[in-house]
Amino acid sequence: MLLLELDGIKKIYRQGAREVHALRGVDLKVEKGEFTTIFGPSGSGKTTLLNMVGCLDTPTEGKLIFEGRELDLLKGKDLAAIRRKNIGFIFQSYNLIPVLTAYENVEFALRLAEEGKKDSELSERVMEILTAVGLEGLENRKPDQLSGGQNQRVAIARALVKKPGIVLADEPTANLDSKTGEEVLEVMLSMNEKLDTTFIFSTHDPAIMEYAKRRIEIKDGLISGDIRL
Amino acid sequence: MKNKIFLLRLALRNMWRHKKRTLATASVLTIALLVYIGFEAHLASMDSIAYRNLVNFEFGHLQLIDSDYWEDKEQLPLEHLFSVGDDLRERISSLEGIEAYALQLDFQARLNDGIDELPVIGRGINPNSFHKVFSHKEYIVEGEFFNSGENRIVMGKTLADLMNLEIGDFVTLLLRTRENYFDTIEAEISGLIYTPNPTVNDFLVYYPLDRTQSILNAPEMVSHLSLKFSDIKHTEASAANLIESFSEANIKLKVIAWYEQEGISVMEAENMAIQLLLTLFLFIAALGIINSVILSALERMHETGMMKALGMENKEIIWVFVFESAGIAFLGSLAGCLLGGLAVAFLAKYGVDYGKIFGDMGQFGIPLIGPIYANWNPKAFLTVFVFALFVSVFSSIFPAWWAASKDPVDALYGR
Repeated sequence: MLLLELDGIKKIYRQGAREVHALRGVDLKVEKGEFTTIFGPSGSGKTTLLNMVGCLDTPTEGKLIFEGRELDLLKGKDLAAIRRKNIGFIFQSYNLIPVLTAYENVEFALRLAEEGKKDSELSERVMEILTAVGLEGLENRKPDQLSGGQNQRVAIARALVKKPGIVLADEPTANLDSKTGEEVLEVMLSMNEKLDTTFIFSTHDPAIMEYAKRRIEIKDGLISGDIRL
Repeated sequence: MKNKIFLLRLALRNMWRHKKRTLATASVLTIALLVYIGFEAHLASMDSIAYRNLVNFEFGHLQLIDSDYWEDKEQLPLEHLFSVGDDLRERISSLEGIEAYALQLDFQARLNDGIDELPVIGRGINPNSFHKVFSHKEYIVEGEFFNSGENRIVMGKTLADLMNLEIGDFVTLLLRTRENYFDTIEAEISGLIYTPNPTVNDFLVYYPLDRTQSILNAPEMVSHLSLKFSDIKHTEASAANLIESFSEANIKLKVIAWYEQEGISVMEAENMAIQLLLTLFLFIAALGIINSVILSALERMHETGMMKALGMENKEIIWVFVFESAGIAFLGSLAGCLLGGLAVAFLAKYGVDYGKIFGDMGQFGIPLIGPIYANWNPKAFLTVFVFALFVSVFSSIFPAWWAASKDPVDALYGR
């Protein structure tokens, strides 16, 4: 089932008087349940592409269709509504709220997505996902009381708790040692398999790339390789 | 609603991320409120003492005076005196709540003790009616008040001390009669008074009205009439009543209420200026809140980007910052009100005797003697609390909006 379609996506930034062509016409189709990595050198356009798919940024040109909706036509509030319900994010530096516990960080994302739900239902969902990522018993710890790997698991739980159509991860293992990075990827992979959630993550690390079932290479703002394994 | 509660919880936790900064910001507000509440209560007390001093020792609630005399009142012009006939007495007696009225005749004089001479205001009074309107009798510190017809004077203790005069001494008052002839009063000092009103203590010499009228050659004439009501609230209506009645009867007397006195309006203007300064002080404290929100917004830029990535709307992010500054403002204002309450309680009990610190306050034009206390004013507490909260919340909206309206990508990647 086709989840995402990018058709001739271009993104041009202005840096002073200079124009930067971050994406030069990307065509891409992603099926539901895919576990995809985007790799390429720094500045190749990986993050810009993820931001575009994640409705954080809008294309200068081209068509972006997600779950049948043409996102390139939407603006601020509508894009926020899509991010709120349908897109999960995992960041390189976790970006957890330091004053909230692991439970509350996850609960926060769920409350935004499922406004008006009963506390008991929310609590059940949060605990379920925290258990699934291996954080049972650590739910009351704040980010500074957890290791980097555990923090990234909280971030994964936060991204998945609202059952989004897609989870986007920008260099999710870059701040972790290789062993922890692999553990995090294993959690992501198992969630992909268990929940059939689509994942797209960017990486530089060949060991991490190994986990992906589809590898897309991006160079100078264009897709230069796309392999399904 | 549940989400708002969650945002409030998040804001309250955010408050304690930088405890020192939060406490520093809140304490600026605390100090501002403490100063405001303390000063306000102190000023209110100062005002009420000043009003009482004016009403009880100089003016009464209402004064009737010849319109021409009023124009030139600094000179105490004896050519503009008036007599109090039965018609006027009836009009006064029919006023609602009227308790008493005192006839007075002021004149310029020079007090001479045989060696020194000082300018004073002589005031002819009828002791019986005078004591019903004014409180001088309670403040006699040596000797006694004279009776009508006696050739004796009562004067302020400060003036007596200045001239080394004592009870039983004879003094001379040099004056000009109504026809502008020189004349003198030689009288014995029967009593010395020390009131909370420095004008009375420093400049006034009281003498029986009948003798004053005789020496000034102004029989049955007075310079002004002071009226006292059972309740100060009767003043305004009575003043209006008299003005109308005088206008109808073509009586050329001016009716002046105590609150129309020049000193009162100057004091009120000064109070307003002080209130303005204190309000400005509160606004400056609010700058601390703005500064705090801007710092928080800058520090939490990545977090704001993440919140936007999670789909939070701008208004929800603004709520977080606004709740946070409201929390700081609440903390600071509450502490300010509590400390302000303690300060007012202290001042209300012990007061501050500025005379002991600065000497005679009369020399600074402040007509107060003795300690000045503080008046409890719950309305001031509530007003300043709500005002501080409002100013703090209002001043945090712009920096919060600035943070919330950042592009999510720029916020996430710190661009």
